[in-house]
Amino acid sequence: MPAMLEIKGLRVAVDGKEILRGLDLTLNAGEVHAVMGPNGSGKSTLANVLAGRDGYEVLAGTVTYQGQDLLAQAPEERARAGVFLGFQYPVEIPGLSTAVFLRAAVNARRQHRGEEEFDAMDFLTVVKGRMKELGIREDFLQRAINEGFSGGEKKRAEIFQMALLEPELVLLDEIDSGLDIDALKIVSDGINRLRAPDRAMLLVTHYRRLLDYVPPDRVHVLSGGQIVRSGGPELAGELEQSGYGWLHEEAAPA
Amino acid sequence: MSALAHWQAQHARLQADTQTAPWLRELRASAWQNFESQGLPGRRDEDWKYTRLATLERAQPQAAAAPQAAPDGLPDGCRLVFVGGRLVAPWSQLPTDDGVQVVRLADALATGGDALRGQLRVDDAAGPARVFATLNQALFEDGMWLRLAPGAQLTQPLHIVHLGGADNASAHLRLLLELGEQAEALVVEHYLGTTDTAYHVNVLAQAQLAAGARLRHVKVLREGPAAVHIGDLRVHLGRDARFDTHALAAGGGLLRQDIDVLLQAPGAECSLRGLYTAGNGEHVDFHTRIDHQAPHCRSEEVFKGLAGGNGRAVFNGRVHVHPGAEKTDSAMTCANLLLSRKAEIDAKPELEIYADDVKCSHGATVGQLDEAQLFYLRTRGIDEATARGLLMAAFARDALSGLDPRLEAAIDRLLEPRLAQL
Repeated sequence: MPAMLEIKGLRVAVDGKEILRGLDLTLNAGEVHAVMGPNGSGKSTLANVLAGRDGYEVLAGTVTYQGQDLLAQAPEERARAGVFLGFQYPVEIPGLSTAVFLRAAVNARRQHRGEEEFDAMDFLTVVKGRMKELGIREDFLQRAINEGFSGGEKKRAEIFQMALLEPELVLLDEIDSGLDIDALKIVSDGINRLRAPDRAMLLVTHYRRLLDYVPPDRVHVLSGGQIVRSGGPELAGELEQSGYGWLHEEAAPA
Repeated sequence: MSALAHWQAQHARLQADTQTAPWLRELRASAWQNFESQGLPGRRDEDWKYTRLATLERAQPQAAAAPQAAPDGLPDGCRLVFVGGRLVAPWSQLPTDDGVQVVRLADALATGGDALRGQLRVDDAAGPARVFATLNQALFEDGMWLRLAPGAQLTQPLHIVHLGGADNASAHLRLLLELGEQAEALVVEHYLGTTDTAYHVNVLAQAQLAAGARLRHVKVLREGPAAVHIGDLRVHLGRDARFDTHALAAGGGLLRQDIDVLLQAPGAECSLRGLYTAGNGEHVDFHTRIDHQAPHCRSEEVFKGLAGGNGRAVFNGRVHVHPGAEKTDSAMTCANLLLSRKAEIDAKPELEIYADDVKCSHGATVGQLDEAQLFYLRTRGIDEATARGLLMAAFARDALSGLDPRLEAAIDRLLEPRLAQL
């Protein structure tokens, strides 16, 4: 069985500047990996290029998702095939109701899987059940997407979308940033509830805090556009102690 | 034959009618003379800077035959259906509410009462922006005079449906709305093109609201691709009167709509909202002017524009706060989206304040669909075309918020295919 996600020698430039410089990473079904690193190490670039954002130029390397060339697909094709990106800064879309948006998203995924599309009534039943699980208020569906939400509410809404779309590959870009401890617990619970043998998750984060609540199987340290160290969950603890300063010392010529 | 020659012939035909009352003959003659001396506005006229009327001067207006039956899809309930500027009585249904009177202008002109003469003034029509009002005065033959007695209410929306380009190549429609104290009405104007020939519609609508009256108004434009529609709406508000309008421009070769609101007594309020769309080959121009002539008046204005293909849109929103209009509260925004490289939008808010204690804001933006929003929707499996459609609809819907719920479904049915076309 092919890996859920296999990244080989990935080099990516933004505005002509190389940000990822030969990144290798393999993620199998059932696993949760964390990618940690200082600001500017390429963490968000990795998440964005995997989701297919414009403006990221792939210079070399391959990304294979369930045996298929991920980079050849449009963002919406990736999403329908089961890739989900939880954003660091989810956008607000005034005027577009969350209910209309979510139904379109869920039906796109269902259509791809050969399932019948939900009508408005079926959809409401399903969506309200999930909202209850995550403690999301009733008026959420009538509101415009993320409009006027606090940082915590936006992140919770991302996790809610993830639960609804049932992706196979979850990419979470600094899902823990801007959360107070209560919100972090709710978001972590939501992530843990989705851990499953047929699903893989990549948590991109600056801090260890999230990993206390969502223990990863592997931790990778990203620096200067490459994975410079990989290890078990204990690596996150080490980083917390020493910070990222050692990266520069190690990288400095002797 | 140019439009000018066509109008000249129309005028001559009207004046040749021996049944015409002398006062009306005189009114038309004087208006025609006034129109001829002004001529059509050109590029030196600031109010027409971005809207050229060359097509009017060149092309001979043409009409298709009148439909034999009322087309499908016309609004139900109270309605007045006009074809080429003339009422078709069998297709129309009048309201029966107490204190509400709907007079057909063709009938009123034939009997020629003094009450009507007083309503037909266009003396505030001087200047190049207003030349089409003068033309309307010279050439209108029919229209509607809606009168609400003090305290009267229209319980249903009154729909005015105009089928353009049928029977008459150049239609000059006149609408008079007179609301007594505390009267309330919802009036919806629909302009539907029936042909792709080059026809004209020139509508002059004048509303007078007495103290505490409330007029809600909607104007929907869906003219033919070669049509020229000139609309002029003037509203005078008395003490504590309120006027709301929603305008939707959803098709037409050249659309020009002027909206003038005069807040003439303390406590008067108005809300102007609108959405204009210009597709390939289309030109749409909204000019609004709100005059705060009295203290303690409020005005709110939100217009949004979308232009695709080589479409062109113009918005000019002017707020004028007169001396003594203290405690004026006025806000205006205009947001625009360009959907293609060849589209063009010129948006200009103008604020002139001659009072000290006022709260006024205005702003205009022209941009493109937000790439971050587009990407967000696509990462949720929504294809690019659908995502663009959702974002455009979200943008558009916001401009029409506050619309009467009874009209929402019909507007949505019109808007959806229109946005898909842009």
